[in-house]
Amino acid sequence: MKSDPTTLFIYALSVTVLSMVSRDPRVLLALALLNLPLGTYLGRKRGVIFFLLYFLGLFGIFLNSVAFSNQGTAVLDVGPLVVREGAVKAFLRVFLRLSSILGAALIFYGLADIRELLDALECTMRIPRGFVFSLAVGLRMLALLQRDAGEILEMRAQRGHSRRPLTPGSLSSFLRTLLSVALERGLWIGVAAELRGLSLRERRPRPYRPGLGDVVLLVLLALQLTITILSMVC
Amino acid sequence: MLVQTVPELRYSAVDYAILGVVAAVMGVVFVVAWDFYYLVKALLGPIGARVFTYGIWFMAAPLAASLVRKPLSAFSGEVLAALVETIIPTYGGYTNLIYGVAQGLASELAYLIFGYRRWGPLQAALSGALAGPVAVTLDQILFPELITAKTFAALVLAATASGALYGLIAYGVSRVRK
Repeated sequence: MKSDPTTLFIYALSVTVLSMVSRDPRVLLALALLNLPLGTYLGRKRGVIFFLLYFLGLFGIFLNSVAFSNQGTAVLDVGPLVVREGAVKAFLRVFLRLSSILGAALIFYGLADIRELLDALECTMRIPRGFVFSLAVGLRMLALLQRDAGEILEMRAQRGHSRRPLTPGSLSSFLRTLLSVALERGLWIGVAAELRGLSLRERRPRPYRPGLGDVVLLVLLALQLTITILSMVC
Repeated sequence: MLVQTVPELRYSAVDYAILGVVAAVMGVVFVVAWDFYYLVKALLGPIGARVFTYGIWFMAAPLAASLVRKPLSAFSGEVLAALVETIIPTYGGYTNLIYGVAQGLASELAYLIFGYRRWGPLQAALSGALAGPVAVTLDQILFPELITAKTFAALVLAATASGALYGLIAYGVSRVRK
C-alpha cells in the first residue's frame, strides 16, 4: 500500500494527539486496536528486540502505576506487593495510549521513504526550505556521527574512562569531541550549499494528490477522530 | 562575542547546516538518553530520573542558540533534533515532535526576553530551565494516571533544575566553535 509521506506524517501526528487527549478507556482501546496490529505488521522489519524492549518498558509503567495509583480493592496479593484495582486501570490506560502512539509511528516508519518525506515537507507541506535543508543535513550525517561516536567511546575506554558518558561532565567531554568534528563537516556542507545557490533556489510547489493508500489512511483517521470527539461530547 | 548590538535575522546556508549538525548530534543523544533515563529511574525513582536526565532532552535549544546566535535558532534546534529523534524509530513516536515543539518555544523565550542580544551561560541555563515545566505538563497530559497533584510540583522543580544544569553544559559544549 503506497501512501504519500504527507498523509503518513499527518496520520501519525494526528493519532498521537488523539491518544494524548483521550481519557476514555474505550476510545483508547479503539485507537490501539486500529493502530497497533497494522503498525506491528508494517513495522515487523524492526526486529524482535524492538518489540521486546517495548514490553520491558511496559513493566516499568506497571511499577509506576503501582507506585502512584494503587487504590481500591486488592486484585493481587503477593507478599509485600499488593496490586489494587486503581493500579491495574491506570496501567491499562497508559498501555493502550502508548500502544496506539507506537502503532501510528510504526505505520509511518513502515510506509514512509525518508527522501520522499523531505521532498513532501518542502513542496507539499510548505515547511521553510532552510529548515528542511537542516533536517536533510542532520539525517545524512547520522551514519557518520554513529561512526565518530563509536570511535570516541573506544578512545575513552582506552584512556581508562568509563565507556558510556553517564555523568554530566563526561557527557560534556563526549559531546565537545563529537561536535568539534561534526561542526567542521557542517561548515563545509553549508559553504558548498551556498556556492551551489541554495538561497537562490526556487521552491517547486507540488499539489497534494491522494492515492488509494492515502484515502484508506484518511478514512481510518476520520473514524478515530469521530470516535474521540463523540466520547468527549456524549 | 556574547553580546550583539543588533540581532542578525537572515540565516545563511552555514547556519542551516550547523542546525542540521546540532539536530543529528542531539537526535542521537536523545535516543541514547532513553536507556540512561530508565536506568536512573530504576535506581532513583521518577524525581531522581528527572533531575539527572531530563535536561538532556532540553540541550538542543541552548546548544543551537549558542552556536548560531540568531532569532529562532533555539526553537529550530530543539524541533529539528526532535524530528530526527522521531524519524530514527523510538517508542515515543510522534510524541517526541510534540514535546520538541513545545520545549523549543519555551526555550526560545530565554533569548527573546533579552532581545536576542545576549547568548551567554545565563541565557543557556534559562533556556534549559524554561523547557522543564513545559515537558512535565506534557507528561501530565500523556500520563495523567501516573502523575499526582502532589508529585507534579516536585517533578516541575526537578525538570527545571535539570534543564538549567544541562543548559549550562550545552553552553560549555558550544565553546568548541571558536
